[in-house]
Amino acid sequence: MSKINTDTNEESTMLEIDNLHVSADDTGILRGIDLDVDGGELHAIMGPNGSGKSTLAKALAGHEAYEIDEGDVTYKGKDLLELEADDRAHEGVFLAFQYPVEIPGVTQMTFLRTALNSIREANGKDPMSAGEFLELAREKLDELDLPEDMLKRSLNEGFSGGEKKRNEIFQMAVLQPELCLLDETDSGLDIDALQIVADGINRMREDEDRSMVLITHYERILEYVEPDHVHVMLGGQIAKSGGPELAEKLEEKGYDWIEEETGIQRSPQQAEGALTS
Amino acid sequence: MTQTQPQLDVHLANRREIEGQLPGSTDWVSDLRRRGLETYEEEGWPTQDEEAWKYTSLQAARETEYASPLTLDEADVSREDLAEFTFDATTAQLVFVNGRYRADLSNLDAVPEAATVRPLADVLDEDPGRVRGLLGEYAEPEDEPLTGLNTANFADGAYVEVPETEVVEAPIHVLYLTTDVGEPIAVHPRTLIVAHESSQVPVVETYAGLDDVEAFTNAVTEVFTAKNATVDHVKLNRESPETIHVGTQEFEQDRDSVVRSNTVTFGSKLTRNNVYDMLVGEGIDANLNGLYMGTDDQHIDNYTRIRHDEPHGDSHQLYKGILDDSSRGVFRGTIFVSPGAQKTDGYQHNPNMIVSEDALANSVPQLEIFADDVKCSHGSTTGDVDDKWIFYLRSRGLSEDQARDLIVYSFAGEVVEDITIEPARDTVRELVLDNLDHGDAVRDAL
Ligand SMILES: Nc1ncnc2c1ncn2[C@@H]1O[C@H](COP(=O)(O)OP(=O)(O)OP(=O)(O)O)[C@@H](O)[C@H]1O
Ligand SMILES: [Mg+2]
Repeated sequence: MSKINTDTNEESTMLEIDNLHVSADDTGILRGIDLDVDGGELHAIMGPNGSGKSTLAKALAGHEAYEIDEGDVTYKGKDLLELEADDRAHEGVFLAFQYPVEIPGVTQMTFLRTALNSIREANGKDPMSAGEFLELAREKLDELDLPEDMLKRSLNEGFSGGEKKRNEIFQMAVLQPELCLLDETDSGLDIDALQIVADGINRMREDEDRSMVLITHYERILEYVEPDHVHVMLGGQIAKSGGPELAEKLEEKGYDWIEEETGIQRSPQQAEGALTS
Repeated sequence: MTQTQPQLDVHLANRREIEGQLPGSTDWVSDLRRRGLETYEEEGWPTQDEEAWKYTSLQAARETEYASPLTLDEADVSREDLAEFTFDATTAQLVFVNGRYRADLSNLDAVPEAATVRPLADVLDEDPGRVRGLLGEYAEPEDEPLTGLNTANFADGAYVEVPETEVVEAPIHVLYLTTDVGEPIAVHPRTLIVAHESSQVPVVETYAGLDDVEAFTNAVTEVFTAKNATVDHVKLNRESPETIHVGTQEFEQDRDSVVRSNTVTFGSKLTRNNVYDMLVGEGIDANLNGLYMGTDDQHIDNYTRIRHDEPHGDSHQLYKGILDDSSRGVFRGTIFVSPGAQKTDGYQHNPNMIVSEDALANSVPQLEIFADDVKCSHGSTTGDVDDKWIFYLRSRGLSEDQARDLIVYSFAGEVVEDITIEPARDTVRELVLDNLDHGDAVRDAL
């Protein structure tokens, strides 16, 4: 599972982010991200509020509000940035949202089956019947200890915070993506729910080609879900990378020492000054 | 309104022409018709100066040279022509084409023995006593000028009566069809539904147009729900895109009765639905919902007024609008609570979904409350399809169009899935999907 030297293993590179600059509303947020994720790896990204973690995740998922100013992203050998959000999903990219939206009236059953079948169709597979889908969905709900009536309910409407997060993992389990971007899926979970979510993630990791980028504020989840690499984002850049021990150090010491060590500061504005001086 | 009518008001001229053909020569019927005519003549055509018509101009229906189809030959219509509007062959069905009853297209065999389902014209000619004190009692000729005009001019319509304790399970379908006869036509269908004590009946009224008939439909439906009775009712507008439709539904409910009604509009270039309910007994349950889906430059105006006169009444109105292209939706609703109507529970909500930049919704929910111990809420929302929703769904693999249509379909679902009459619910669901650009993709997932 652990790949120490990622650079030599070119064929298995799933995601290659090269000097990515992203802005929203004409404000620069990401300022040159470099990140390689190999097939089967799990990368954890940590970093203070506002450092650009969700921006990275959403830009990778194809959110149109995020403007790509510079840089390249190659996914499975293709130019990811050329693809629309739905095409990225068809190619196996999945984002578990930090704040899953509530969509009134749209039932989970209808929505998820439509999603699954559009992915299947894009990959030349026959659509799944309602019966087959229900069987699959039940199995995954059961694994995540979610009630079956979840399928009949409107998407995330009235779900508790924890239910919403588990629901993202449920969708991931049904859609079986190749690249999972998990944006703070562990935040706001009680210890039991955290265990369930972590088990869900680990089940997905049994597929050795599947890669994960897990954004988190807490080292806690990494005790259940072992990362291959840990990165720290600061001011829209990856300021430091390391192994699991980096997460432990962050938990203990916070982020100040990285700012000092690298000269990169939390807010992009400050970072601007630091870079040009 | 004391505005003088133009010399030759087309609807009065029509009346003069067809007067001899109208059913019901008994004194009380003539009297009723005369009252209707007087109301219409005195009050005149509704104009936008009136608060109730502020957002809707009916001028076109006044100025167009409509003929009365009673002066024309019977239309050549077959069962196949109707197929898209009818339910399965076992459904009891009354069909009126261009104002006239068509026995050849109707299906009265399916009517349960206990119930009376007949063309009103027959009743007025053969047994008028049967509807005395009922017809014109709930929708009184004086209520408004167009109700007056309908009372003066109606040629036929459906009469549904269910005796005490009788439960009719299968819905009765009344289809009012207009067809292209080469010139514009005006019809004034009249429906009377009477559910006696502890009885139950489901009725669907469909107003439909074939081809691109240019019609003016001025419909009046009166529904009396006696003590402890239940009426399920769906009014479905599938008129032609050239038609102007004004429909007035007046419900009156006695104590412990239940009305579950849906007013659903897909058709006509201009629609005005008046939905009135008088809750004159205690413990009444009134569920009056609506759905409208505007495309092109359709104008759809729903005007409701629920009056609580006695304690412990529940009224619930959910009107949902989906407005695309340059369509416009109007909702004006009032819950009126009399001083004696304590413990009233009134709910009125009008959410609109604006699908296109050029579409528009006006919403004026109103409460007029004169009792102090009541629970009433009202509100409206108007929004477009949220970009956050679209992104969420796209990130799961749905195309933008699929995502949009799924959201719109689901928005309608809250009203659609609450329609109590199953074949009507299925039809409305299909019509919602038909109206979406990518309805098939949504249909596949259901
Ligand atoms: N659509 C947007 N328009 C303008 N500014 C944005 C937009 N999205 C994010 N930002 C800004 O970009 C910065 C980074 O936001 P982002 O959500 O990526 O941070 P984060 O690292 O995920 O923070 P957190 O840990 O709080 O989730 C913030 O200053 C934020 O306000
Ligand atoms: Mg974030």
